[in-house]
Amino acid sequence: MCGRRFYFIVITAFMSLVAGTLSAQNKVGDNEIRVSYGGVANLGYDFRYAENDDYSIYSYLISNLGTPQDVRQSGVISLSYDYFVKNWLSVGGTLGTAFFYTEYQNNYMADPTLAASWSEWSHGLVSVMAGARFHFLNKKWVRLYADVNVGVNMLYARNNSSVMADFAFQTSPFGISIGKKVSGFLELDFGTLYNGGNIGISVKF
Amino acid sequence: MVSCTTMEINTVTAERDKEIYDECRYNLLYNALEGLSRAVKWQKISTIDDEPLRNYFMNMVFSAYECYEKGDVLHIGNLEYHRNGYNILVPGAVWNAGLAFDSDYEYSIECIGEGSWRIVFTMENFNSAFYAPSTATGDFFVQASDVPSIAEMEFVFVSGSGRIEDEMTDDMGRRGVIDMYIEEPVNAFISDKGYDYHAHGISIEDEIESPFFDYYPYTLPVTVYKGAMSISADVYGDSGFPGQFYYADLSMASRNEHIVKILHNGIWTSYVW
Repeated sequence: MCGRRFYFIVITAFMSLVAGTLSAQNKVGDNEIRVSYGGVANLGYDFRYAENDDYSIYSYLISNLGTPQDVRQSGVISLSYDYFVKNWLSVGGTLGTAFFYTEYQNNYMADPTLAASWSEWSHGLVSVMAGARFHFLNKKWVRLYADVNVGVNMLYARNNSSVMADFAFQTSPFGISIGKKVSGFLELDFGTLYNGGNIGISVKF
Repeated sequence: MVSCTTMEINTVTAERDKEIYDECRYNLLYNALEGLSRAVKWQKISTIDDEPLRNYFMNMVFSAYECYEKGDVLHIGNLEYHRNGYNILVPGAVWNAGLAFDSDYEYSIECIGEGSWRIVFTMENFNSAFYAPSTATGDFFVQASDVPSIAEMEFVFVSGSGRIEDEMTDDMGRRGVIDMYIEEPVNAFISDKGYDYHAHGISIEDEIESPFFDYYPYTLPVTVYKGAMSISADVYGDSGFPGQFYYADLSMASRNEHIVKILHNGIWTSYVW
């Protein structure tokens, strides 16, 4: 009896939600700003190479100071802007960043058992991408979408003035956004920048 | 009762120690000696009165170089010596050397006593382990050894110092520096009479922007043995970098065996290579 009542409530709520969304869509000319967090950033570079890429005496001495042992990261924080050129299509750009914290062991100690170790913020990643988002379900309260972005990833090291740049490609095959002017969204992402889930808030105006 | 402990040597540190030592051996001691070696050998041979014998030694020692005089300038391979009218074997003589092509290279030889010279040089650090531009400078007191063959004439670095330094400007804030000091007199000779350093380090046929075009592996033909040198490596603009200090003892080395004991962080390690 209780089980049937529970399912009745859920189905009724879903039907109400669907009924309430039947009449609403994104409009041409809408603007949207999104802030999100998530994903495990891909680190395609060897840290010592990133430190060493100018092959100078300075880079040699600094990079030999320690071997990276344990790299942790902040996750990817993103800010994007999109413009709706169609009801089902928006285009725009995304700025993403992530920070890396590395534990080093001092390679200058001849006896490794005496080597000191320390942890510090060592690298940062910045990505700039342009992309398109396809809204294949476009209702007042619920939107389902997929997007594709291309751009550049830039890795910079704390102790090196040089920046390493590489091609960036990022796609979300599935994302869901719930809300009206202010929405929350959750999406799945893959690409050269990061892989994993992404969660955030968007504002449309 | 005797107890023994085995210490695992940090192999990463061992390689770094040898690299720092080699950078000094090749780019300070070789660069200091090559110019003096050619000059002294040429001057000694040129004073042989017997013409066939003089020609014999000239051909034997300088067979790999184009060697000729043009007025006051003596050309030996890619080095050009401005003799200022002097015989470099005579105390008080000063020769200044440059390269046969455009390069930041200044090298001076001053005879300060019989068989003794002061060498001062500044040059772009070609054939270095560091691809990025750096400068090598040196100021050494060098004597001719009592045990030469004229082709492999030996010298002794009695005292002096050299420096290898990043060329980046101070406002970039990061500059690596390696300083070397002669602590005990070091014997040295040029071990390949045919090696014309600058021909290997630079492509002289082309107009080049980067001196690292046609890059050549940086081992240079100088043999060193006996004596000792100290080396410090530091980074300007980064107070967090702990300056490194090395002491290289060559007392076990010979003309044929390069045995070096290097002290670093309180631990002596012997290397043979």
